[in-house]
Amino acid sequence: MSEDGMVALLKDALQLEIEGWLFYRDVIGTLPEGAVRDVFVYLTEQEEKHQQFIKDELGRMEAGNQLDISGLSALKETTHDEVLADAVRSSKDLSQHEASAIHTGMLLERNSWEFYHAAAKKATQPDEVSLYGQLEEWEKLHLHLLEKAYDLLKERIWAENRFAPF
Amino acid sequence: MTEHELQFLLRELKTSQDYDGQIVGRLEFEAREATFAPLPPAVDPDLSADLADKGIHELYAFQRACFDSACDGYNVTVVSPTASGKSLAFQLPVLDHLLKHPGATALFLYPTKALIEDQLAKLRDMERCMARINTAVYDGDTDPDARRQLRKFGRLILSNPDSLHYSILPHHESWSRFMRGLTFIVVDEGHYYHGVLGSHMALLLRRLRRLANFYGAHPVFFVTSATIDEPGKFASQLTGELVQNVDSSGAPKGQQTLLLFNPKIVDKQNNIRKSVMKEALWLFQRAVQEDVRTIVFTKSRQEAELLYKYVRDAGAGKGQRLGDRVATYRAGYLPAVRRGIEHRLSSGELTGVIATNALELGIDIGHLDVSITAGYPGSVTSLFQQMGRAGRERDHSLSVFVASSNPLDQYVVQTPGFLSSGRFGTPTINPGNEYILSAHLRCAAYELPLRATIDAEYFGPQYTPLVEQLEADGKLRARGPLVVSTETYPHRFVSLRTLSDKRYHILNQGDGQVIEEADAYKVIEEFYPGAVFLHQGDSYLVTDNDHEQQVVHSIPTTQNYYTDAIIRSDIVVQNERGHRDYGDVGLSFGKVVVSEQTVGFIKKSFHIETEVGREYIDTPEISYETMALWITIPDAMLDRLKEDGYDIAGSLHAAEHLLIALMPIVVLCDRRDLGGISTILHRDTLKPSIFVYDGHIGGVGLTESAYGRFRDVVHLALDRVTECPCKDGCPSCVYSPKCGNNNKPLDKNGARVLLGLLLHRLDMTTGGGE
Repeated sequence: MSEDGMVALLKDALQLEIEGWLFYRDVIGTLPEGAVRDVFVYLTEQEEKHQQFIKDELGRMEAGNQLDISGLSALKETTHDEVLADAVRSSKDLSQHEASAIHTGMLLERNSWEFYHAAAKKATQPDEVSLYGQLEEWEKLHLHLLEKAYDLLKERIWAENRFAPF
Repeated sequence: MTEHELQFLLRELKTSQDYDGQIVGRLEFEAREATFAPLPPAVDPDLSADLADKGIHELYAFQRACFDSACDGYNVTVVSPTASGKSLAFQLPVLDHLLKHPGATALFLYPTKALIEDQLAKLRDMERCMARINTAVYDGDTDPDARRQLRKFGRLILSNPDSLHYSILPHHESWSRFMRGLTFIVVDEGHYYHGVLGSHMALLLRRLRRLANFYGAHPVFFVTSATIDEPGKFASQLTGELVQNVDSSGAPKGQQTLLLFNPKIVDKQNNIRKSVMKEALWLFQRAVQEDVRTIVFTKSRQEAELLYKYVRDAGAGKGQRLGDRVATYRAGYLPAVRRGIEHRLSSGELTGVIATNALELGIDIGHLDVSITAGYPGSVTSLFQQMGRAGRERDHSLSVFVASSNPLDQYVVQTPGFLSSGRFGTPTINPGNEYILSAHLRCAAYELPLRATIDAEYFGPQYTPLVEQLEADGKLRARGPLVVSTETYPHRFVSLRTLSDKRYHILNQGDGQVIEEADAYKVIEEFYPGAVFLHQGDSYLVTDNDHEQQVVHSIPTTQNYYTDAIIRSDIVVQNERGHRDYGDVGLSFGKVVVSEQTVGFIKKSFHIETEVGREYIDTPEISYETMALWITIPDAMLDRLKEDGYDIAGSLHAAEHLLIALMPIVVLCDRRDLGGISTILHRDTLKPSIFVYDGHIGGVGLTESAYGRFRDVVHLALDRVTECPCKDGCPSCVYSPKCGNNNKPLDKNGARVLLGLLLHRLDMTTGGGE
């Protein structure tokens, strides 16, 4: 891929990370203190790190340097895909709002995952392939932790409303 | 209404169980007695007979003053509220002159079709005059045969700026008879032409005057307007000629009471008040149940429809369902539907109407007792226009302004002096804008070769350099002393309006009928697949959009929710045409793409208005290229703001609002001609950035000009925010009437610090890197 193509792809990646970060940041402003909010704080921090990493790489490339993914390992995820589900289990007063936030987060993460999946295939430089492959993995983890919590919350809301479509 | 009725209504309101002290202020605007003047002695007998049939035997003093000034050949402007007799002020001298001079002609220009139809109906009441003066509408719907007839025989033509631009001026040879006789040009609702539209209108009127002069005619201009500051100066800028302002004193005015109504706080933590819609609904129902003729103005079509549905669902009132006694009125309805509602209103069949600002302009809907404004309409002029809809000539009228939780509304309701200061603002126009003037010079050269000795007077000091530039670009060519166009019909490249010309039909698949019309932007915002929208209180579900055929397919639905779009706005830099570094602050100018896309929608239950679901969808993006300037803020500045405890996003956002508010002073436009986006991190700049862009496709030179004078803009913005005595922001500083984020987050003091730091950089360093 040409250098311009690499930069364009990174800019699109940055846009996605900014959107994700802004969304999670807004969500934590509306949630009460508690385990669920803590997970969203974690997601906000992760998206901010991704965003910062991509921004720095873009800066490097625009300055005429090569992509350098040696710092990627510092972004390592420190969570597991049950963390939000556990938070949901331990929180009694959850509402439609949390469900909606989780659902919207799922859509964003799915979008990012698909983007990085396609980007990894499109990439030609080994470092580029690794970068997008790694980001794809992490966004997939975010997606799964949101999905598990959403399913749990959905069941709870259905049960509270005596709705049983099965 | 009588004083007794008004007091009764207020008492009813205050003793109602839903009343909880929401009236936080009351402003009184004193009544004014009418002063009369006799009809001019030599007025044509048919005209005086028509007036007598309407019960008019004498004039208000200002109508007579207008008649005298116009007959003496002066250009005239008159400022007065709706239904105060200003139409007669210009009709009288025009009709009298046309009756007495069979070769004379006149052109009345209106900003909307609805107004043209309304005014034509009024003119037709003057039967004797109309029998002698061939009068008709000339617009996009006029059929070819009628057009031919008009060109041959028309003497009084009612039209709009678009038809003048696209049809009449480029084909003026076919209108030579009309042009030769052109004696009066009336520009009704002149305040409507502000900002870029106003600049276009000013140049269009100069083109019209130039052609009329070519045919030997020297028409008198008559400009009417809602209440604005310095009307004479504004009308002079608009027409390019000196215009005399006739004081509208003499028109009677009943006492006006304005109640400032602030809904109670229902969520203390987030400072959220009870819904403005629910409060407006309550007030409206109370009034209509008492048979008080009432109008509610809402800020959007959706709010108008929701309010109507709630009223309709609310059940009976005095033996008749309330829904049968009220209607909605807004743009988007088919013309025949709007005419029907206007007729039912003026005949008294309807007791109430829920409208958007489509009813702000002077369409005759008979007399109403109470006006309710649900949410601040964005300007004092607009609010007073809405208030002017209530009350007969001399009666005491009641208006209620219901504030929303938006900080702008809260400022207005908590600062009564803002409304009673008597300051309305003057619409800003700039006929010297090089982009717009260039476009009109191309049109003017096509209409008639340009002559430097004559045409510089019409088009101002920019004429010569711009003509030279157009010659260099190959758009014009010198031929001896003349400059001719090299293009075929350049008018097609010059659109007077900012919005898309593309019209969609909203189709009800149930019966195959077209129920509404909408432009491309409205389709993105309101008619996306899955949307549930209301039309005259009934719900419809959008099933599909055919963008090629410009049709939205919908079916009636019984879903108990409506939808609000989730719109993603974005700005992408296409190419940077200029850049300057002021230390670590970057200032750039260039071409950008502004885009909007509906990425999903929120389902909200009727009445309770809580979210019942969300869906995400994939719709085409609507985007347009324009020009922008942007500044990038260094991390050091943000760190400083953070350390001092300011909100970063709020500071950037407030600074963006201030730059947009003050830029018009430097580049002479309206703030509505500009758009902005501020972001903590932008994909192209990789830094916190504030973008300000021309809100017109392709750009109209506003931000380009501001780029060259950016220091002045920042200086003005800093002065404004520093001198503003408010604590946390107000409409005079950081609140914007068109903010898409409801003026949140905003940090006035953070913006002040940020602008101070920016100005310091601009002063310390001369921009390098151009």
